[in-house]
Amino acid sequence: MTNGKKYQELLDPYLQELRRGLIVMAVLSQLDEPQYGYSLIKRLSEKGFDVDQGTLYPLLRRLEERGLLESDWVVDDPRPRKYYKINSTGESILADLKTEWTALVQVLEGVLS
Amino acid sequence: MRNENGFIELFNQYSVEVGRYLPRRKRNDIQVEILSLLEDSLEDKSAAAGRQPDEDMVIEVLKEFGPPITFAENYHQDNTLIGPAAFPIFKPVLLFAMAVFLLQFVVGMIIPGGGPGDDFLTILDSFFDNGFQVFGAVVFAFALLERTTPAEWLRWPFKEMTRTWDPTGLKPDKRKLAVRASALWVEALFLVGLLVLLTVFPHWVGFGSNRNGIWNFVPVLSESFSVYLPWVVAFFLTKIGFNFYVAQKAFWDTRMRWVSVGVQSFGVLLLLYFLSGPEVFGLNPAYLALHNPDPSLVTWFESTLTGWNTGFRIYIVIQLIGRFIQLARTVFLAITGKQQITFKLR
Repeated sequence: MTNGKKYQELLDPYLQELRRGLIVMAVLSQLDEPQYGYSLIKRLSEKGFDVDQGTLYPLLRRLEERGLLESDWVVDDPRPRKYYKINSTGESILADLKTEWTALVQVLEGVLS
Repeated sequence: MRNENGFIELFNQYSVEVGRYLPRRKRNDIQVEILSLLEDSLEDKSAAAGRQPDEDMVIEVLKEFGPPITFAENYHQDNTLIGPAAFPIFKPVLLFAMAVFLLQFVVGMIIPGGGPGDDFLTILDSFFDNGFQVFGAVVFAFALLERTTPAEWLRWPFKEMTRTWDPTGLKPDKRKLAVRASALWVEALFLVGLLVLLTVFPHWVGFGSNRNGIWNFVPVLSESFSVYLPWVVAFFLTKIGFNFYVAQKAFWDTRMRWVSVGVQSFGVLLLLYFLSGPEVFGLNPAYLALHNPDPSLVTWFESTLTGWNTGFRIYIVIQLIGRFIQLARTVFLAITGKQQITFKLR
């Protein structure tokens, strides 16, 4: 039990690191239409990509600050919501990330086999 | 759903708590968004459970979001000069440093030859020049701390808050019992500094002036101040130890309050001793003979000495009144187990 827990503690940071690099790509890919934080979490979760709320919401802010996303407050909803949408810079970055990702997967498949 | 049954107040309080660790520039926008996201999350939970939202659901949502300080920390990952762990301590330290600078500047203007000069522009220039230096030094020290100290160490003063994250602590009645660890750490830090000053460099407590490029300094503590020193040291060490003990806890309990009664009583006795004992301020003949400062400064200090000691005694009386009220309140709280004890930086 203790060994299992220790092993998990050892593994967790590596898994987190692996996922951290992919979250940006996953998030950008889902913002072709405006999404607010919680709807994006649900959307990603439905596609099997669970993201912690404490990770996603600040990430949206950072992507916006870096000029990859645009945002708008919508007050017509049941409550004020901040909607995020990818912009042309974000689309360009996403396209490059996808190309790099595809190439990396091919290379890693070769390495791992 | 907002404010229904009052439990949405917990969401409001959560966003306020997160905001405490966020830079002012981003604070409001993030707080409104957090509130909206919390309510989205609650709505979803309520729909999934097929019943109206209740307090248990609210608490569950807040547990998922995690402790406010940890949640706020995620917003600070991009080249933040001072992160959320150090930020609550940085703010009071900066305020204290600026207050000391202001006091020193005002005193400098009063004593003969102490100010930067008579010209208004020179005074203004000196004020901003020195003010920015103090501000820069504090920011630099914390920025350095942020970059050289492991994150776990910086988070250590808040470990109880993050380890035992209990959203019910956001309720108004329980919130009053919450220990404000950062205030206790800042006070302890301040006391350590004062302790070092009074025990190792007591001759640094004084005033000085720079006349014609020659630095003149007159220490103000009398020789008889040494009779107080062992008791001052004992009290400061007790207070530092007490702050250390309380800062480890998330909420006040009866035992902590009784310990607080003991520490506060010690403080009151020390103040009474100051009131009845020898005068604290006086000329230090040994220092004056050795360093031979500007005679006009010494004469000015000597002529105002009665005022210094009277002012100090008035200060002690005011402190005593405040301490007595606080002590009576703490005893009452310890007996009844109600309400909080507020700590203020002395």
